[in-house]
Amino acid sequence: MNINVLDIIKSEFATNLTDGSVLFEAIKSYKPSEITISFNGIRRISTLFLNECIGQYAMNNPATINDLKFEYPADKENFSLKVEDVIENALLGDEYDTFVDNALLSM
Amino acid sequence: MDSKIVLHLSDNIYTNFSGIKRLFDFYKTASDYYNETIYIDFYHLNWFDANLSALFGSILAKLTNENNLKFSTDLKYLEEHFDVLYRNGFLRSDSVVSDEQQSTVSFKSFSIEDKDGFINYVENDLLTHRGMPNLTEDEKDNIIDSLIEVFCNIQIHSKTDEPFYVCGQYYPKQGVLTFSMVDLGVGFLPAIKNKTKGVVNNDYDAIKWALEKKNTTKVGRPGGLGLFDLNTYFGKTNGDLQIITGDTFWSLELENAVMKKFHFPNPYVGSILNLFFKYK
Repeated sequence: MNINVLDIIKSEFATNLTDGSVLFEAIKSYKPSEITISFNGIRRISTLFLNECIGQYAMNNPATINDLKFEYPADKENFSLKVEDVIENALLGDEYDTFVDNALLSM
Repeated sequence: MDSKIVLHLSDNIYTNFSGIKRLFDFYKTASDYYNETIYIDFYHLNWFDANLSALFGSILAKLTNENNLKFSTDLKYLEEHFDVLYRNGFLRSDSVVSDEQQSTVSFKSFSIEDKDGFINYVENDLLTHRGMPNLTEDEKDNIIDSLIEVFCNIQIHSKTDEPFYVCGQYYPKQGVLTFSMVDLGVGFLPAIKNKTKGVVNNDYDAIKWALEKKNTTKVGRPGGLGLFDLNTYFGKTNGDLQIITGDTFWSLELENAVMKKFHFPNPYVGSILNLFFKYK
């Protein structure tokens, strides 16, 4: 199933928390293998937005998140890097927080 | 008869600790008054970094709203000596004022909901400015996305509905375009202190924490990259990034100096980012 971000958030700027929540609500009941998320028509994305939808979705589906497919606009290669980064961040999650907390405690 | 209340801005107001401290001190003094008209004396001011119109504008708006203050000044003097404040839209004039030098990036305020307005401003006013470095498309995208993220984060963290203020100025002699962004929220520390369960308990450490790649104050969410990316960009390009929140002035440039912690005796509110783009 194709999930078109532009149709869901009704804006070419996928940037804020509200946009992210709306997209997360639209995808959360699907398995990663069942959907393709299309960013066609989107001009700007932020990691804040991606954290809220894709990051949260990755945290809910850590074992199967690699099955999730994406479509990107032709001139926006950096979208895929951001998505990969956000997924990586999401999967590091608490492990990273613990590392930072320990480092701070040792300061 | 009531005597006239006069507050002075004097010497030089640059985008550094000392200049920002002068504006914070102005706020502190003015905030002791209510329901008055304050005359601002600019006669002894030699220099004002016009990008700081964002901070000064936020101060005047806050005092107007919260203390019911009004402000007056010698507008003719300002028009003659600080015409940049007309050219960047901070002050309005009946006569047409054009920015022939093309050195200003307009003074604007945005509601925190107005993502379209802010993004259009960054794309069309800031990034196309003649003072901006020759950026690759990737660099441009990264900067826009980072600024968008900072803007959107304010919605969550600042706990305020007050507008967000921006202004920029190109300094051709120094080859630098400085862009200032000001929010009137609660600053970095409260949410970070809460998230770290009190481990981070001062403004300086809160700024350092916020600059880390994966740190976020949102529970159960991965972290953001906005400040991390900006810090990385300015580190690579020999520009500078300043972050002012709570009582602390932090600067990328000062991180390699012996004295790196500067504290304001009269802190303001929210947070201020000053971005120094070095023209290549």
